[in-house]
Amino acid sequence: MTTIPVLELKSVSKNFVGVSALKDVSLRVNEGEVLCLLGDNGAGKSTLIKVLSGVHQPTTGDLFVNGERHSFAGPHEALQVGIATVHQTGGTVPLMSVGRNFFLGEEPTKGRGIFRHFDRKLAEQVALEELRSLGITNVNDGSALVGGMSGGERQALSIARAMYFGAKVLILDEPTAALGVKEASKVLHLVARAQMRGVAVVFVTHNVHHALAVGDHFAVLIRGTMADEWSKGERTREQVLDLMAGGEAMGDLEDELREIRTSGSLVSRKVGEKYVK
Amino acid sequence: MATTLETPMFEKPTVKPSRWKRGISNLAYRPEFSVLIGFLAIYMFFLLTTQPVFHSLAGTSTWVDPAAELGIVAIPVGFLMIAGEFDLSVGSVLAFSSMFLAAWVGYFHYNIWLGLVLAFILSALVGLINGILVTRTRLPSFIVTLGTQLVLTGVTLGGSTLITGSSSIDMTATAPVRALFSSNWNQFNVSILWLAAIAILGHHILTNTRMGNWITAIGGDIETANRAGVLTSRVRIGLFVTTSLAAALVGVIQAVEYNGSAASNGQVYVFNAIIAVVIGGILLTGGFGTIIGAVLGAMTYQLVTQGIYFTGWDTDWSNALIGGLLLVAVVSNNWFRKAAVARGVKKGS
Amino acid sequence: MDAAAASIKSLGGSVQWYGFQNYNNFCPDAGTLTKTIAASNPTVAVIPNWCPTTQTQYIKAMEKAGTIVVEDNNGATWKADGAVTYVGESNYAVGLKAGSTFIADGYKHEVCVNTLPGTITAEQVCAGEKKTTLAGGGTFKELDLPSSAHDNPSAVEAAVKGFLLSNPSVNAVMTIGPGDADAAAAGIASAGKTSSVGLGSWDLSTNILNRIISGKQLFTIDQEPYLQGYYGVMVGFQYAKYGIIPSAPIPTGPNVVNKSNAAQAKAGAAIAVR
Ligand SMILES: Nc1ncnc2c1ncn2[C@@H]1O[C@H](COP(=O)(O)OP(=O)(O)O)[C@@H](O)[C@H]1O
Ligand SMILES: [Mg+2]
Repeated sequence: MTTIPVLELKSVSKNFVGVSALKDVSLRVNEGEVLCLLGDNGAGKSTLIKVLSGVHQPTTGDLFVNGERHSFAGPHEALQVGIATVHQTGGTVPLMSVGRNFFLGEEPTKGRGIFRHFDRKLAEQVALEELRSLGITNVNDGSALVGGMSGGERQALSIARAMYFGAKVLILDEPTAALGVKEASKVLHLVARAQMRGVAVVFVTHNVHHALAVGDHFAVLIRGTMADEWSKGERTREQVLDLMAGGEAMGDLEDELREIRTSGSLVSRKVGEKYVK
Repeated sequence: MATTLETPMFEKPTVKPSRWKRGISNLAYRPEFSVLIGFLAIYMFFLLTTQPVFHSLAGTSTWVDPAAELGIVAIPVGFLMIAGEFDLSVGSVLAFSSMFLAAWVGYFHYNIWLGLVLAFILSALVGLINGILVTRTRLPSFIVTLGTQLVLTGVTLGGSTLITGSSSIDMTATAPVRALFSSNWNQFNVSILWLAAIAILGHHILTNTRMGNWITAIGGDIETANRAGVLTSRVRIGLFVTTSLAAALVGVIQAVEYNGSAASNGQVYVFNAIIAVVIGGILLTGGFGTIIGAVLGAMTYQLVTQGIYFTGWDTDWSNALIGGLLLVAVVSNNWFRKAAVARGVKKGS
Repeated sequence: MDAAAASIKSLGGSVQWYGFQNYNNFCPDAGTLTKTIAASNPTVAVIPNWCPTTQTQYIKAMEKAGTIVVEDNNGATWKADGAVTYVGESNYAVGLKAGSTFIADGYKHEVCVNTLPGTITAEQVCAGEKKTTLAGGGTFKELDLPSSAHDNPSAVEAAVKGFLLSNPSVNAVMTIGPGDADAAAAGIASAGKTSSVGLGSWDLSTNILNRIISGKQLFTIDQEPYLQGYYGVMVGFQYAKYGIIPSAPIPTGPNVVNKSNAAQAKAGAAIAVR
């Protein structure tokens, strides 16, 4: 139990004017592990990610990378120590090619002085190789525009990119939220591959099934506080679903719905019939 | 889209089409391709409807010369548009730089070289102000540069009447300055060389340098560019400065060529440059376009404007033609862009 | 204008000057400007009536409010407008003079370059030129440019060049302003026709006078704007103060400046009298 976590938060709080978005949150993620961060809308997931990726500084509490205390002035500094974030939207520029997207901001160059130029061939070749190594073989033209790729492939491009540039921690903010079933499963494959390569993954979602499919550890945020934490196998799917929906609140809802149905206060109608009271 | 969903996760790479075939299809999907087709079609049209003098060297120069001046402004305006920004101040910068030079030389009789240097520095300053205002305030550049455009127009007109007592100033340039900015070769003006140099440099920057990648990314998705570490503010400020310098170059060319300037000059470049780059296939909302397209757009614009004089038709209709051309160009460029995006998927399956 | 303002000041009055931002929206702007002047309720207004449709109503309104109106520069309708006098020339007379000057100098195939199509000023010049040209046995064409060309010398140059190339018989070019004249001169030169095509223009500028002196331009027509402004202001003031007025209208120009008198005109221009 002496493994030093790649990334650790110790009793972090984050207050915005009038809102306390995170309250005394602690978490850790190890090399080659997937930490799933679950929570309803407004629970504070994005805020937590922003703290981890250097966008926000914690109001109180500390952040450790490989056991060392860090305070990031911005996302750049987080990136420098290997914390990469892939956002649900964005992350790729649709009207740019695969190769150009892959190396955006880190373009390989050839030549010196005024002859220094972007090595497009290399960029496209490397991008394709990296995509392929993550199992995306469907894209085979590095000069094709990313806008023509599916949502899952775009996520893959962002993930491949982060890993190529040495990410030790990969933060994925709801990568499956906007995807269909098949596309989402591609992304889950990618998460597993990243994990196999020893990357620590923070996977944010509110889809319990996706979380259970890939997670090693789980944490649930409710209104800014860490409501529960557990490791794989310690909770059943039902328990997790209940917790996510706010536990008792869900039970209440079910009772209410049952009552409505039995009392017949809703006028039922068949599809296609006009609504009549 | 449907094809991708059905392809298996682990698929063997498909066989690539031959290099030659790829070359042809790549060409057809380049954004400037449809612009080139349009340009050639219009040229053919004028060949058939005008007198032979139209395609003589002299006739050709009547549209190539003004296209060069428009192109010099259109290229950086195109860069800005690719980066998702507008610059409506080019008209007043043009007027300002030419009026400044005309006053410096024609009214004060100071050294012309110093005047040139100052005209460019002061114009660059306007670009710097544009860039800083846009990146700091995060207001749309359309509004910010509209503001600087009006301010500078007023300052130029007011300053000129205050200092010289007139809104137009005459000047005479020395021979080496004339050679640099307004010499003629055969029928053609030296501004064509300026355009060529700027176009080659611009094309190189956009397609072959890191800067080009950044500019496209900024216009495509500025958040993504920011996260990828692109210095989005600095790049855009640089583009605003470059645009002002280009407008100043045309201002200087005109002041030297026509021996002076008027405070009202240059305003047409504001919209003509935008029209040219949009005809040239640059996406109005940013993130897509080429410099070759911008140059072709400027040439197409002037080809239509000038071609009409050779047809013998009533020239009152020329704006209607330009407007129609603009609409057709936007629709066809849209179509070609979508085809280019879709191609990525099709080729893979 | 300054000389008149100084005299008025010495007599205890003051002069306020109004002008245009640009000429892209000419007649509506002229109307607005007239309205602004009317609103300031001056004792005397010296004002050209370029666009009767937009301006006349405000000119009449200020007369009703007691303002003495002198029309200058442009005032074909001065009597009907109720102005006390008109100081200036008629645009039509400028055109007549241009046509007859070209014909007299042997340039019979003329084009009038109109960079302000749709404005009466330019149209009258071209119409006047047409009349005397045709009467003198010449031919006449009008080249209308989109109004955007007015402020873009490159466009004017290219249009003139293109026109001369596709109409090789044309040997006289008339322009309606100094900027257009500069651009047209460049167009004639790059068509290689400086020696065979005569250039005429309206108003004076250093460039125009230099070209006339060096033989690159045939003539320009001086409407003596200095006199218009000077007399306009003086006459209005004296009428308001003392009730004295010369017989109306007071003609200035059109005065042809060509090689024979360009040097003198240049001396006058140097002290802003021309
Ligand atoms: N920049 C901010 N300023 C003020 N309040 C914020 C800011 N960012 C987030 N919040 C608030 O913090 C809370 C948590 O938001 P967020 O982290 O986005 O939740 P989630 O991503 O789980 O949906 C919300 O109440 C939100 O309104
Ligand atoms: Mg969120």
